[in-house]
Amino acid sequence: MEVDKGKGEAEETRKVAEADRDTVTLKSSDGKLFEVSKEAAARLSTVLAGMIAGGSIDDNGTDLKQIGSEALENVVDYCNKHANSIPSAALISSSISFNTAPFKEPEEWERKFVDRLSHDALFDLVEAANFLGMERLLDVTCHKISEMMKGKSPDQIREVFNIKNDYTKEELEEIRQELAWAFYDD
Amino acid sequence: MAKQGGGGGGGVHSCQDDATTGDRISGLPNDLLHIILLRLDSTPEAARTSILARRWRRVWAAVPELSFRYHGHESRRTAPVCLRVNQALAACSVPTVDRLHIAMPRTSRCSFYLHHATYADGCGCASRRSDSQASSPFPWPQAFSGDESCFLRARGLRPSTSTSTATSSGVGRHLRRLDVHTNSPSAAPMKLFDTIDDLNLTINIKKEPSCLSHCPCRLQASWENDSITLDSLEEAEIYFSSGSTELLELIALLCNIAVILEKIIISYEPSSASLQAKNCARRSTACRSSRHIPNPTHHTTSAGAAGMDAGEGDAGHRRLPAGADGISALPDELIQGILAWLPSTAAAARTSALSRRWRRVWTTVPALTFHVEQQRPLGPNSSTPAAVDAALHAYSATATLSRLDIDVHDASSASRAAPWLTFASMRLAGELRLSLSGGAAAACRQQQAMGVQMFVVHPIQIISNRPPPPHLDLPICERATRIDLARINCELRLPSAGAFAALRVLRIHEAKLVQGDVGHLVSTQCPRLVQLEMCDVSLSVDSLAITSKSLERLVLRRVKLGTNGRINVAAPRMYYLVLDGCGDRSAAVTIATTMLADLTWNHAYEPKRHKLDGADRQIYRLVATYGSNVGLFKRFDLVDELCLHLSIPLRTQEYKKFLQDMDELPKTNILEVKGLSTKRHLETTMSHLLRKHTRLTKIKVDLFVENPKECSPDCNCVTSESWTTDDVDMDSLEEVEISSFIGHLDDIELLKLLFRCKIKIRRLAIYTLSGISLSQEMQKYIWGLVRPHCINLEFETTQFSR
Repeated sequence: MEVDKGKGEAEETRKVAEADRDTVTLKSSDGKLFEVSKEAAARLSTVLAGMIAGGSIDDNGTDLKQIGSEALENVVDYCNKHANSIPSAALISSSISFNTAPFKEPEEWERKFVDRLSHDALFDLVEAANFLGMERLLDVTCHKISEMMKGKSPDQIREVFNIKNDYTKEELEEIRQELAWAFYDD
Repeated sequence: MAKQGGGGGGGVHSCQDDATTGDRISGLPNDLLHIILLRLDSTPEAARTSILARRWRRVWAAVPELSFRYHGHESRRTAPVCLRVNQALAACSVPTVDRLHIAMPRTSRCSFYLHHATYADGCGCASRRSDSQASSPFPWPQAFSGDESCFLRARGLRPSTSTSTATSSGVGRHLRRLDVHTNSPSAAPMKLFDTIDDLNLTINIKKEPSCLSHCPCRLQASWENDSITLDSLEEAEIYFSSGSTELLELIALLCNIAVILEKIIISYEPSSASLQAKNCARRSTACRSSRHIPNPTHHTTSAGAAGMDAGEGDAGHRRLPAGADGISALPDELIQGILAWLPSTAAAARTSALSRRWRRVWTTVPALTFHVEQQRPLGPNSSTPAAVDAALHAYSATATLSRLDIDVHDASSASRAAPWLTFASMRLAGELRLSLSGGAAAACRQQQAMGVQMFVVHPIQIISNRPPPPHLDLPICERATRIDLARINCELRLPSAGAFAALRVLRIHEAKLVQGDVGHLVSTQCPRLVQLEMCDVSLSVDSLAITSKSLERLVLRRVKLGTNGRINVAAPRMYYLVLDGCGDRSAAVTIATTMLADLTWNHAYEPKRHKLDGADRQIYRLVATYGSNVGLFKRFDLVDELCLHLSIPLRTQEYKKFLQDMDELPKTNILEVKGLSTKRHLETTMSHLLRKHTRLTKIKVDLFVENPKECSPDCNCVTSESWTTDDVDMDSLEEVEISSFIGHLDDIELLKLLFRCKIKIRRLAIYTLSGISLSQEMQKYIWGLVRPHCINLEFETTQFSR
């Protein structure tokens, strides 16, 4: 677990930004408050955009009960970094038009951003991104997870993700037969 | 990724103890797992996650994007790649695939059938996706050449109407757009879909075939399966850089299966030698081909409907080794379409020398065109009379001839035309054109030398020691729709019995002598004739009597009749009549039609001898010589457009009569004056005309003097003072056009005259005689003259406007 961005920083941000309404206040499941720029929130998260548009943003902290403080901090962090780094090319839809790559490869900073996350933090962030409808963040985190799976044998994958093998030997053999086509990658 | 070991049991659980955190990933919802799995390199890798745990068993199968990437050389140890893809597609459970990518190993063994099956399933899978947003670049079998990959890009897949499973090659698969990039043309991509709206083929064909002709990968297997239809395909675009058998098969197949195909666009490099004149068309279709093709060339071919019948007989030829001249593999119909557009049948027939396969193709081309001459050397498109004979002889007995066009350029050949017409009478269902241009002059001279009488009714009775005069029999052509005979400078004999049952248009231009009764022919033998045109024709009969219920347009120009000849036309539907200089312009004429709308009359008109029965007193357009035929003008009250050819008499008395007669002109909205004989009295003539027609909206004057006649310079036949126009009020006049303007005093005077009237016109257009242009000064002068009365003044190059 390595969390290097302090909560204090976020709180400071909040105090500074409290006067104007350019920010929204988000409240994690454990009651911590985070400020994020309204613009970035609306742009990066479909759920927050909907809430802002629908007026269901609470000035005293919009409750996001499904998201822990650590994940929410990462979300806010991501939003801020995103706003700072690539404001224009920000919205990269994962539904890609023909002929292009399935999705845009993560930027260097995005890569670094997810690389520093712990295993749990990564999955928390995936869930948070999913909950908040943050497509780009979802892409980046899923990409990270897939990177962790790539080129590994099932055994290795189980190891990485702590997946419990609940197959019987017979079942496994059956599946291997069934999936013979999948096991001859050259 | 190396091949995975078989033993599943051993170390499976070993990692569990090392876990510092729980199994987070298995707890993610499926749609997140899908996102993760589709980020993996390939579907097989994703599928291997089923091994992980029960939770993962079916996760991969619902991933909406499928990707199969096999690179390098296919291993001989493993199952063929395509089989594996098939199995994967079969196992995949996603209802709609957003993206399907298949990259085959370059040296995948040559098993077309397997590939075919793969793509069928792939597309089957793809075709069921619901949204057309994403698409599927997937590759094309590499079986036929080595290096470059081919791609089939399927775009805009629409959901199938049926719910066929991925493994069945199902029905109702519809594809809106198909892009094929391939270097080995094949019908397979099209076969995958029951219907395709838009097909785009890019084909780069390697010159050297990589397979032997007996290789099982040969495409023919696929062609024999006619189970596919592309019944909504309307347009196909094909690009290729050189021809090959396969490509043409592809075109042929398209034509066979795309029943409403309207357009094939073929683009090709000029370097492809085998592609001269190779745009294909379906029956009755157009195909423009060119032997010298600019670089690169696009040809649009419109194609009509096509059945499945084409080219059955040449299935064997389709198996020509790759690299052979590709066009040979086209079905006959296509080649006929091509050949019909060659400039001559001679050129078309020369194709029979190409190969055995071409031997008889030209003989079924629906249009035959001959340019006949004997002089040497023959042009590339010319034929000798003997060659025409041979060509017609060789023409297929079963083919339908829809156009026969024979242009005879030299005299000695003209006499050979008779059998050609006989051929037309038997075989033609369409248009016949025969022109003995120039050439028949000699034949004509021969005729005159022999002293043949003009009006011999039965020339057969001529008894002579010399050979009979040259003549041409027009045989009965029952199925001809149009007959166009020109420059028949020998006797043209009309048949006296039989029917031109389908004939709608009959035109005879420049016939020395038409032997037989044209009137009888038209009245009784041409039940559907709509248009009859005879120009510069001498008739052997004294009179022309036409009674026709179908005739709508009749043009008689300079038709020579016998002395005391008459023209009687009873055609209730005739609305267009031109009677121009026939029978010495005085022959008695009776026209009976109630529909008359457009009359051109260059003929005398005495109400007793010339009658227009049934015609309204109000018609649309009257073109007539103004002079001796006042009666004609009295015949009509109102004409929308009146065009007068003014033959202005020079003698004072005549001229006075001339002007008086103008009072009889029918009222009109548009007045056109042309065919002047002199400009001398134009001014007074015009002022008189204007006085009589104050309701004109448009005046057109052509100042060109056709047959100049001048009276002596001191002629004082008309006093100009008496014809002022100061008091003429023409407030409805909008437009004036003056052509053949040369800027002479007379022309300017006309303008002055015009603008002395009380007129306010929108537009004055002045067109000069060709070769003459008005100086800037003159233009400005004229503008100054007309400016108070006119908003726009147009010269050919400049415009003045207020």
